[in-house]
Amino acid sequence: MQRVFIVTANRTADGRAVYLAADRTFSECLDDAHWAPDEAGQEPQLLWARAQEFDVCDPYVMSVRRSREGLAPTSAREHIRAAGPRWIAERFGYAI
Amino acid sequence: MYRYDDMDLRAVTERAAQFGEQVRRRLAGELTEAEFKPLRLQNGLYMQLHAYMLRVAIPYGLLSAAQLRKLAHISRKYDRGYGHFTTRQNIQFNWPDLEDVPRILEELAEVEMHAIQSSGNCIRNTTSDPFAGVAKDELEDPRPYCELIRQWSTFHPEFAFLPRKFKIAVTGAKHDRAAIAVHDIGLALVTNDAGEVGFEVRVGGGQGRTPILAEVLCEFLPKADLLSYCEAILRVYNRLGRRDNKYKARIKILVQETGRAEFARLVDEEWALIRDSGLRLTPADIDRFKAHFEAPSYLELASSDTAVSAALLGKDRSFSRWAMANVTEHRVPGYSIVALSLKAPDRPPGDVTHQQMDSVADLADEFSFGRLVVTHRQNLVFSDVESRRLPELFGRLEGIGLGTPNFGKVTDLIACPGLDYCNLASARSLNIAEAITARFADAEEVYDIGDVSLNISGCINACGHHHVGNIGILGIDKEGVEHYQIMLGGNHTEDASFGEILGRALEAHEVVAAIDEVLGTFVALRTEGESFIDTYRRVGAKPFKEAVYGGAGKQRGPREDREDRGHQEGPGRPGLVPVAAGRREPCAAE
Repeated sequence: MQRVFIVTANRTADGRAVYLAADRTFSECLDDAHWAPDEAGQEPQLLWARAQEFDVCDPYVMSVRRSREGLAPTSAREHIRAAGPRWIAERFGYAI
Repeated sequence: MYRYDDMDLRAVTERAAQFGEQVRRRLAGELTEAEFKPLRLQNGLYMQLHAYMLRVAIPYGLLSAAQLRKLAHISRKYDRGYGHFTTRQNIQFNWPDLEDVPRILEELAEVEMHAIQSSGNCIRNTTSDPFAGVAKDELEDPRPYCELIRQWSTFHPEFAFLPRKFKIAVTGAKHDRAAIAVHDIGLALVTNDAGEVGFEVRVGGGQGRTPILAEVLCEFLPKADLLSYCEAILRVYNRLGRRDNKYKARIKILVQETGRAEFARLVDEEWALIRDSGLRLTPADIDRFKAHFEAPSYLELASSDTAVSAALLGKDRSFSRWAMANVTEHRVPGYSIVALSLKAPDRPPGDVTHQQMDSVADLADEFSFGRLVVTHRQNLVFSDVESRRLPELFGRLEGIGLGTPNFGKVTDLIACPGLDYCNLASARSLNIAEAITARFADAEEVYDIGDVSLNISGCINACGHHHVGNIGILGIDKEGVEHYQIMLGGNHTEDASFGEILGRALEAHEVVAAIDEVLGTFVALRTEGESFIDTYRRVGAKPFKEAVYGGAGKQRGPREDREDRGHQEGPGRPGLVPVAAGRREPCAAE
C-alpha cells in the first residue's frame, strides 16, 4: 500500500467529481487518475488543471492509497465523493 | 398568501434571464469560476460534493398546491425525482446541471418563486412559526410582517454584501416554534402595558461554531417602526461587523464584542436618522399586507373535541397514535392543524419524492384550502383540516408514506445532508439518522418516550441545529475517522438553551447505543408526565454521562450488550457501514 497524490476537481457542467488523467483529460473514474509519489510532483498537473477553469472548478491535490486493486481514497469525504451519484442511489434508493 | 404583482413577476423573470446569460458566459468560457461563484450564489446555486445544489426560497415556509406541483415537476424534469426540505423552510435540489438552472428559475417564476436570498452574505429567507395564522396561542399572525421584511430586504442595495449571512425569524405565539433565540434578529409579537401590539426585538443569536442566544435589544417596538429599526440594526452591523475573519463575521460576535448596551446605543443613534423616513409603516401599509393573509372561508363546525377524542380513544391504534402526535388544536372550532411527517424510516429526514409532492399538493387542495407550510424541523403542515375528516386524511397520508406518527418525537429528527452530499461536512449525518430511526421503530416505545427533539449536524456549522436539540449530535472528523459528539439539554423554544457535551466523541457504531442509554436513563428517572428536557434540567448531566460512559473517569464507550433493547452492533447494520468498507464499483457511464 503506497500513499500517492492525484489532482481532482469538480466539472463545471454538472459538478461531478473528476480526476486528472495522465493524458490530461478529466475522468470520473478515480483509477484513471495520474498519480505522483509526492505532493510537489503534482504541482505541474495542478497548475495545468487550474488553467482549465472553464471545464473544471477549484482543482486541488489529494492523497490516495495505491495498491494492486487500484487507487483508493483515504478519507470518508473523498470516498463518498469518488462514489458519486452511485453512493446516493445505493444508500437511499433513489433512481440516480 | 401573498400574490405577486406585476413588479414582483418582472423582477423574478428578469432575474432568471439575467442568470441565463451569466450561465451562458460561464459555459462559453467567458467567466471564470471565481467570477461566476458570487453570481451563482446570489441565485441559490452551490457546488456540493457530487453536483450543483439549487436552494429554492420558500418565504416563511408557505407554499401553495400549485407551487408544490411545480417543485415536483422540477425535481422530475431537471433533477433526480426528489427534493429536500431544509431548516430554513426552503427546498434543495441536489443534482441540477448548470445549463438547466436558468430554465428552472424561469419555471419557478411562473409560480411566483425564486432562489434569491437562499445563499450568500445577504438577508436570507425569513422564517416563522409553521402554525402561523392558526395557532391557538397566537397573539397575531406574524406572516404579514414576514412578508414586509421580505419585500424590504429583497434586493436591498445596502445589504447585498453584508459581512456574513443574516437570518431573521418572526413569531406571533407564546410558544416559540420559530427558534427566534438563535437568529441574527428574532422578533416576537408582544403586548405592552397599554395593550398595544408590537415587537420584542432580539439580536445576535446564532449557532455554528460559536453558539450564542440572542439578547433583547428592544422590549417593545411599535409596528410602525419595524423596518426602520431593522434597517438601523443592519446598518450598524454592515458598518462594524468584521470582514477580516469569516468565523467572527456574524452579528452575534459584534454584539458580544461591543456589548449589548453599546450596541443598542449605536442602533438608536442610527435609528434616530431614519425612524421618520419612508420606512415608517402606516396602519394602511400594514392592513395591505394583512389582506394577503386573511383567513380562508372556514365552515361553521362543531368543536373538534368529539372528532379528536374519538380519534384518540378509538380502536385503531395507528390512527390514535398519529392523531395524538401529529394533530394540533386549531384556533377555529372544528378544524385541526396536521403535521405530515417527512421522517419515514426509509427516507433521509426532509426528503420527499416527486410523486409525494404531487400527492401532497392534491391533498392540500382537498383538505387544506390548497396551502401547506414547510417547518424548520423539516416536516410539512396542513394548517386547516376539518377535524371530522382526520381519519380520511390519515388513510391517504399512510398510502403515500407520510403518515408516520412521530411529530415531535425522537424519530422526528432534524438532520443536515452531511457528508453524503455537503462539501463542508466533516461526517455523515444521514447514516446516524437512519440508524436511530431503525432502533426506535416501535411506535409504542416512541410514544412512551414522549416529546424530545434530536438534531444532527455533520459539521460545526450546525445546519442540523444540534446545539438546540434536547439531544444534539455533532459529526466531527478525528484523524480521518467520523466521530460524533453527543450533547444534551438544548432547546429552541421560549426557554432556549444550548446542549452541553456529554463526553468524548463516539464512533459511528457507538452512537445508537449511546442514544439508547440516554433515553433509557430518562425513562428511569422521569417523573409522571415529565418531558426529556425537564428531566435533564432537573437531574443534570451526571446520570446520563454515567449511563453512556460508565462511572466517573472510566470513559468507556456505550454498552454493546444491548440486544435486550433490540440494538445490533456491527457493519451489517443498515446505515452504519464503515466508509472504508464501502464497495467501489468499476467506473462506468451513469
